Amino acid sequence: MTTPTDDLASDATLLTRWRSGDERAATEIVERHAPALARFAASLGARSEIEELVQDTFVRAFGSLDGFRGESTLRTWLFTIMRRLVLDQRRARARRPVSVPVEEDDATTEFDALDGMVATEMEQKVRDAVGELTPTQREVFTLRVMEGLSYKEIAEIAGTTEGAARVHYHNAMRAVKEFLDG
Amino acid sequence: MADCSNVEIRELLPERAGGALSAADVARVDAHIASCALCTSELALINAARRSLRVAPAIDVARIAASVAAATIVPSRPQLVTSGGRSAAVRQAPRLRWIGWKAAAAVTIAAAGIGSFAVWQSTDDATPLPNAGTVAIATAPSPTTVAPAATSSPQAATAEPLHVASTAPAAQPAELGVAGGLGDLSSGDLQALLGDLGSSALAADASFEDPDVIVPEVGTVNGWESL
Repeated sequence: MTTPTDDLASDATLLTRWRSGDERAATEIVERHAPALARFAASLGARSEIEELVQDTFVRAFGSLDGFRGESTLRTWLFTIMRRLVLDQRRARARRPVSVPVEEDDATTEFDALDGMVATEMEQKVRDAVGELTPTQREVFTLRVMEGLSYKEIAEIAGTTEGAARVHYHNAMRAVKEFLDG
Repeated sequence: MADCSNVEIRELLPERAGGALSAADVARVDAHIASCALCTSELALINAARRSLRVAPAIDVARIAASVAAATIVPSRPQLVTSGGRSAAVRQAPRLRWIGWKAAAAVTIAAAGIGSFAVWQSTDDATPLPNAGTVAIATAPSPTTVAPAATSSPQAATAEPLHVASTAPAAQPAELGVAGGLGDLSSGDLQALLGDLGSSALAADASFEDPDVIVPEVGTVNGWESL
């Protein structure tokens, strides 16, 4: 099992290789982080456009890697970029006359991309419970439980405070428990 | 399912499930879990959530990698090119075109002014052409701004003076409006006129509203520069 320290070292090595002109390093970075980005996109409510979102995230990231100073992990930075892309898309859709506005509490069918992939009844129930969370709770819960990010990293991605991220996580956990108990 | 009162241990459960704890912390958490049904249940819930969310939505990673490689130029190359119709360069293109249009308009206005000046310079000061190359400048709210070029009409050069600028007050001061021919003006007045033309161009330019162009946000993300 790789540890966060291993991940940091690997990312740093790959970035160094890429900066020195090794195009293969970019491919390895994509292969390394694309699945996590796809999961995060699903947690943000993205559906059919997940692959495009992942691709755009990497294109934008590589376009601004010159400013990378390693003050957070590469994955945290990628999550932050993807989150901004999703918000930009929602704002753009909201400006269109025929668009359907994205409501903060609109949590229905946002996990459609994961349908049919859940193995057990317990996992299905948990997935349903996560699908009932508010978008913010679901985002924080996914980053904390699935990606193992700290509250500090979550706060950086979501543009909030560590304290707020902690509260969102515990509210999400409580909501999931209540869903399962009910 | 209630919450355990040991917040410190509860905060470590996600890391315990993800295998991100040190050996000492694993031992500490496991010792607590062995005697705490609430934390045992919560850890089971976290593990179930990890399993249910582990499978990423179906994406073609190889295709994404190929697209990103094609759209991204490694630092040793001279410039970054993005693709997919969503690149920063593509998104900024409409703004660049808009700026180009405005520049062309400014050049056209300036050329018109210089052309009038050149027509005047080519004629003898002692024999001014009535209304030939006449430019009537009237400040708002006077509706007439620029008279048609009378030199294009042979009869206009010899017939009665045109009064296309008749809406301008006859006694209007030179600094506010010019209703006569260019030949009526001194060199200083013409310089002032050309300056006014430039100011008018700038004012007109400022009145345009830029189209709604989506450009990537520029800011700092986690201490890094971000688009």
